[in-house]
Amino acid sequence: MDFLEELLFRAATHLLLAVPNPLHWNGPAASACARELELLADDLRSIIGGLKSIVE
Amino acid sequence: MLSSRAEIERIRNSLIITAEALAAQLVIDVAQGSPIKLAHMAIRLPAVVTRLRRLITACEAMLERITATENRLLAGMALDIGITTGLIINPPVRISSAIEVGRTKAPANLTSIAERMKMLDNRGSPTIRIEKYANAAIAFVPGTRTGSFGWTSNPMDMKTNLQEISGRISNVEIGLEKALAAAGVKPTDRVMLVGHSQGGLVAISAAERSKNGQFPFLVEKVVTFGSPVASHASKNLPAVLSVENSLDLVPKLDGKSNPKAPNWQTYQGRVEGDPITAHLMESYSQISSELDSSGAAREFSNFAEGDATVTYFELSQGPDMRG
Repeated sequence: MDFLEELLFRAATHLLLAVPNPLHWNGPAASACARELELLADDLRSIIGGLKSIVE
Repeated sequence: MLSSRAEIERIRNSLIITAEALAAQLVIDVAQGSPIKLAHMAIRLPAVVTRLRRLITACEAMLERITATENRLLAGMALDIGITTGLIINPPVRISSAIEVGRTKAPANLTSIAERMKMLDNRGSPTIRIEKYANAAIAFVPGTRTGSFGWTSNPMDMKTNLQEISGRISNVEIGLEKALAAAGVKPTDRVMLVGHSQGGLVAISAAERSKNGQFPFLVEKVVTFGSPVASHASKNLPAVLSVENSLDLVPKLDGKSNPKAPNWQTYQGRVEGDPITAHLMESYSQISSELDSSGAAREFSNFAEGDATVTYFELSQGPDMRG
């Protein structure tokens, strides 16, 4: 994993750690926030996948 | 449903750190070494960063809503505790005098509306000015007159601020209703309410009740100068113009910005001065003249036509407990 992939991987982890704790925040807004964070983390992981597939 | 301020702040801060780490320039700098990787990042990353920023904005909006709700609840609690312990007294309100001062022409612009508001503010007494036109009326409600909590005969006090902030009906609002009726305003007459500071809180609450059929006059327009009115929902209001001075702390007391809606226009000007002078109508007169030059307030300054009878209604409440 190069520096760029690591940077994106750390960002994806940060996003997953930011998912609301339902004990402190719940309801429709919290669920929407959690869903969007998971989708964003997926997108970052997919960007990492794309980078890995680039052979130079 | 539970919304913890600390949890939303944690999420917001975490997203800000991530967005900064992903800031397109940084990642593109790192990818510089490889043109293919650079192209891959340039295509995919900006959309992710944009969505992340949207999420940060949503968290901030949630935090603003929580602040506004907390302020309302705190004001209500302070009021209840104060009334229960006798620190705050809620005596009945009445019109103690009505003085017809003559006739005036309809205001030609927002500056003349602000000048009339300033004149009323400078009287210092708890007085509402009503201009009665043929089929319309303009009511002017000044700001807080005393720091008391209902102990004196002056209803434009701190108790009224707590009541208005916590969504209750204050003596000034009841007094406004009585003054409009005493001025001969009919339920079918169009009414514009103009308020400075506390007066703006009273005006917007009366307008909300008018729309809900709980205030017996047809409020069509509201102008507020330096009032913390952001906790009111635009869908429950007629056309509103809120004028704010960016150096005035009072409109910021509700901890959030006014809603952005087609029927609610907020104009923020800047008149230099300390926080006290920034809140005075003198500052708001200057901002109003800027607004007149832009033409943005025409809908409000053209509200009435012709001549009006001007009456000053002085309000008082209960017996003066301090003699």
